[in-house]
Amino acid sequence: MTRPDIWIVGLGIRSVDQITREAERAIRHSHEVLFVDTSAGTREYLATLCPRVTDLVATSYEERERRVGAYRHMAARVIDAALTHPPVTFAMHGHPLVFSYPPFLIRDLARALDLSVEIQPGVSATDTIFADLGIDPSIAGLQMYEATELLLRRRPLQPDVPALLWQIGNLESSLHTQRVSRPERFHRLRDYLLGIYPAEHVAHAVYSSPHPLMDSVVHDVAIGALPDHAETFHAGFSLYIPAATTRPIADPELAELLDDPAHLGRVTR
Amino acid sequence: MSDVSDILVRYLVDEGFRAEFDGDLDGVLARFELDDETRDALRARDERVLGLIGRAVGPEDTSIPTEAPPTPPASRPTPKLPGIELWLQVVPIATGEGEDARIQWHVSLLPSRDQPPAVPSGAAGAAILYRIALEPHTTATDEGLHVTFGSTFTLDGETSETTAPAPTPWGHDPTSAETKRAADAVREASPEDRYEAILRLIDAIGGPS
Repeated sequence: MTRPDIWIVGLGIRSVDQITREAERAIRHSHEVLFVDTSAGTREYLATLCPRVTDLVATSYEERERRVGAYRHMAARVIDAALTHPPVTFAMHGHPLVFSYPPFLIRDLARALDLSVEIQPGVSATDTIFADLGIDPSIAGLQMYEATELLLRRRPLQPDVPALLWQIGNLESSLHTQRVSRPERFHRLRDYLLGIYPAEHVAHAVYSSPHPLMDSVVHDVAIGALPDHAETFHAGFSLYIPAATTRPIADPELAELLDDPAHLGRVTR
Repeated sequence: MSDVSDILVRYLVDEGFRAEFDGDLDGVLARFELDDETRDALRARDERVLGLIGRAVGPEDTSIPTEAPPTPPASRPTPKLPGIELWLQVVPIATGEGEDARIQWHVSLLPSRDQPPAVPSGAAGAAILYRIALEPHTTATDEGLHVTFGSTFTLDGETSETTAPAPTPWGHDPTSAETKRAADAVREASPEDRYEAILRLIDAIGGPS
């Protein structure tokens, strides 16, 4: 295998159980693995693969500080390690590029310093949520937004397409905290969604299991009652909103052609 | 390592223990000192396990020593500086006659686009106007305020996007002159100073702050 200076890998959501073979291989070939994952057992497992294991969570986050400060620290530690004793692996919970800023910063810092980077995919929360809720995004499509970003830009939602809103537990703040949310945190989101969905429309707040000894958590929540569940929604929760309406076929001529062998003959060779 | 932590970790890394746990839950739990709430949570595999995980990975768990890392710099309120916009007017000027004829540039730096100076006499072509924009990024450090600049240089009437390299998704610029200077400083830094030099490179590269 070609060895870059830095591997960026995902540990999966139910980490250790969902780490990929190629990520394991990268870690085995690294002189240090620096990781961001709060699951029990991750550090011990990584220690079976690599002699030097560094937990970046413990030294990065500070209460009421902007999360971007933690991300800068993580990136600086990884780059420092890569300059000192390459190759190294930066291992993140989930998929390394899904809802995660540090890998992008590391990649671009590495480019500025002529360090090589290989990014490997991991099992993301998107994948586990599909399994937890038993949904197929190909049926009616899927619209996905980070919850605060949805409100900031007032992005339009199509009520005939299921929606997945990420990080509802971190709503309306860029600052890190482990405190429990008040109902007021969800008023703005509720009001925005009520402009699109009926109050009684039921969404599913989902938190995918981080450990095989814990089942994933799904709470059914009516849109109008979102604030009532404030204490439940920690940072790991996402909100899946099923479609509230269906969109009729707008091109009946194309619909006719879908099962027409002659049409298939015309569009293939 | 506490008994709960031992269970959570061994279940992940010890296949034999996992098989035993799944096959004889009560028998395995009986070997550990656990309170009733913990036993119930492990039997139910419900949200309460998250609390057990939190305690298991808490700061008291130091089973694998790691190198003491530098502490992240404490952030503090950072004053913002306004952006700077200047205009550069360039006019080709013809001078002399016959064999002494020359064309040279007449260059003016303007504080505002609205009041460009009159085109000098002898202009041999239309004036060309460039916009120079400086976008300061400020960071408060222990040594004081650290200021870096992002810059764009565009022909009047064009947007910076048409002439500048396409930004990365997060707005980083890994190729700017400022970034190159900061990268050189990282390479030249001693191991003790390198972490701080990398933080300055992060400032130079731009993006969220």
